[in-house]
Amino acid sequence: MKMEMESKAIPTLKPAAKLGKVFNSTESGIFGVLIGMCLLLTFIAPSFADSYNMGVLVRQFSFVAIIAMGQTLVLLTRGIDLSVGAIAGLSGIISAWLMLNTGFNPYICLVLSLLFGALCGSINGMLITKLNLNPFIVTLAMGEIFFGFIMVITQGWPLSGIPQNVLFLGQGMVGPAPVPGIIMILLGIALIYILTSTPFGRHIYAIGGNESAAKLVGIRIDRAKIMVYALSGTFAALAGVLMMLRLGAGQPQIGEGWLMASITAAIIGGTSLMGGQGKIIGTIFGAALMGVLANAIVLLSISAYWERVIVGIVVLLAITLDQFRARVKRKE
Amino acid sequence: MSHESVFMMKNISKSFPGVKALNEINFDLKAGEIHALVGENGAGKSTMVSTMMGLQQPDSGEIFMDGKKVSIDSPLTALSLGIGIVPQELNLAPNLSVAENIFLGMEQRKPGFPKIDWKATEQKAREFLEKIGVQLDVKAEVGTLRSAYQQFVQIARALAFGANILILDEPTAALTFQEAQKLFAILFQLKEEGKSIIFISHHMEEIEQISSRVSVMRDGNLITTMDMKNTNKDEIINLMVGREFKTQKKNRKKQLNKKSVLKVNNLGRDGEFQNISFTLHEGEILGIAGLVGSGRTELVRAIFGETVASRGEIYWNESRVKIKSPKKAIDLGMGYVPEERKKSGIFPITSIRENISMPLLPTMTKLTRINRKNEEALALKYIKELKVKTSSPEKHIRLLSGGNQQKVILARWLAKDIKVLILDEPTRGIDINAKAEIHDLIHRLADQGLAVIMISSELEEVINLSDRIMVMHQGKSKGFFEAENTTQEELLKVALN
Repeated sequence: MKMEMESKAIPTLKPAAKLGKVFNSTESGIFGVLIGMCLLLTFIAPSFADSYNMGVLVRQFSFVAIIAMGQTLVLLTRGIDLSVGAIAGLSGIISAWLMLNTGFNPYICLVLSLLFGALCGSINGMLITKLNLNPFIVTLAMGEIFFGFIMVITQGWPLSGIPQNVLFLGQGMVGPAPVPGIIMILLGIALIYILTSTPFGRHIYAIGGNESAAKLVGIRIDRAKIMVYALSGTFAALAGVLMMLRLGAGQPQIGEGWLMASITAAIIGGTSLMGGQGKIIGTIFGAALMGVLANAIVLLSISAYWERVIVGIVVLLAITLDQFRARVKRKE
Repeated sequence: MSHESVFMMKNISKSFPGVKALNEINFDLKAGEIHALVGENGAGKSTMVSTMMGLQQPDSGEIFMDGKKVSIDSPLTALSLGIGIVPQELNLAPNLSVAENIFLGMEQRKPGFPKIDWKATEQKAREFLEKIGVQLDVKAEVGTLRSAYQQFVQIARALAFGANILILDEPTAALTFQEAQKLFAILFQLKEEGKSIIFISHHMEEIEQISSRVSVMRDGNLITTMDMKNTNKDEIINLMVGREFKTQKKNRKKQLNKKSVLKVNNLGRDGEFQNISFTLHEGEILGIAGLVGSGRTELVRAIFGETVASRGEIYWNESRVKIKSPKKAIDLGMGYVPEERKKSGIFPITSIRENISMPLLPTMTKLTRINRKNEEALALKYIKELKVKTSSPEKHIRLLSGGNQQKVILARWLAKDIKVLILDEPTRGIDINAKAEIHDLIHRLADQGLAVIMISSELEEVINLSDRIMVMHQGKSKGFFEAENTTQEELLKVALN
């Protein structure tokens, strides 16, 4: 911060000032931490930087990143979607069931499952806007219902026998890059475009920033919110379907643990639970950070039982640091 | 009745950015008196009460209680010094019982036990209510009570906390005549017991009826304190308004022969306003005057589609329209600058540029992409034109002063081709310079043919700015006045009924 002030007087300090500015934003702060951790891990456990390990790592966090991007949209409108894990699981199961029990082309089954996710999300959105119910409660209850259906459909058994030709979407590589990772990046780019350059994106921030003002400038709040929940449902379904293809079977456990991970990734990445503040890129970094942590636990042969403890501590650290950063910035 | 002063303010001043809210206030309160505090909105009454309550610290000056200098640095200190308040918006917990509310924060326990002693709580609550002569089921939920009784609970609560000084801020606004009389009886009784009461009200009859002394505030100054028996309603109103009329009234062309843009016929909404009719013409400024709670804001909210009127019709360019959402109103060609800038005007953590372009996005989007260059140019244009003081259009709007925020909100609608602009308290809490600029702007826009509806609690502003003025009282229109031929006194009398 001091650097910036000096830069006004002495033009030669400009690069330093720019650096200062970069570290002023949450997502760049997280990016710094992420890079730092990666360098440290490369040093302690050289196998970390292997292309094999990198592939595993990226594939691992892509699923959570995709779900967390949808969650970020919802959080930006000052809502929350507690049903993402269940929608992911149920959509994965439904895609497997369709492939096994209908004669449809497997790709059509995939599309139908995504549409199913969108439908689940729209139902959430309609209940929240048209009946004016609390998002926390609606999505909590809907999540229970969706998880229940997973059990009803599978009876607890995996649905196996998925056609081989679609499995590459979950398991394959394009060059050094795992396919789910590529899908995640493409979606990220699309969402960044939507949020920064389209009216719909502006409306999302406006609703979260001040809903009553948003209504008074003519934004159709209900419509935007339903869209956002539908997108969140679609993204969850996509993550679930990709995971099903990764596993090669409709496992009833798909989606477990993704709910908290999606919220955690968004929060680490600087998305505010109060709405109106946050970026997709931050969410991707947040998911990556959690992925690296999980990977480090494996590489350093720490008991996997410690993972949740460590993730919890990292979240607390991240939001504390961010609060601190915001306070310093405000004082300036 | 003793006459020593229990509370005294000496040379208290308080400034907010651009506004001197309190200017060298000297005020004293005697034991056993009901002291009325009057003034127009924005005269400084609330700030003065806030300093008494410890919500705000004066910049300079001293406060004495019973002759000793005190500093009231928090609401808790105020409470412990025996200052209790019955605020305009009652701050009771609606879901708790009467007894619980009275002792909230001071729960009654048996010594040594953590559990609340319900018997004692209810017993004592009953005693405090009986003291002020109120019969009430202490187990009833406060939210189910009429507002008069909620007020009595609030008074009992202040007494339970040992208040010797009681501040009532517009206590009768939501009361019926009988309920108000009951409240006055309680106040008289407390006065006889030697308590001191500060009574803030807009209703002159009440003030004449119950107060011993009256202090008049205007523009942050305490103009005078008088014994009630030596003055009367008319003198008080004159003092509130101020004798020096600033003759900055602009000469405006008569616009009434022009074409009507918006016509409202017998509009009504249950519990808010009834039978409102008027016609708004191109280039006309229609002022709406009336007290807070007279239905002014509710009326314009219904016209703009934020709420929906239950009766009556709205005509736009002579054809009937149903306005069910703000979007519909905006599509017709209306703009609305709401009363509470923070709550429903600005997008605080968003840039000035985005705050301006928010309702304009559809017009500057190609396919899906917002044309950033157009957007920036527009923001810069209005920042310059309206003299918004900022270092950059990318600055978050919350960092601007109130006046500059208001200009940004106005820019939002100027950039759009609107025919009717609705302004609700457009200059509240705004410093004098920005205020004058906004007034000029409104006149300029009207001269260009824009029709304006403007609500203001400042009568001087209404008269100087408007062509015609509608006065509202308790949800009803009390008539129209030509701005040229009316006075603040006349409007105030009608508004106070």
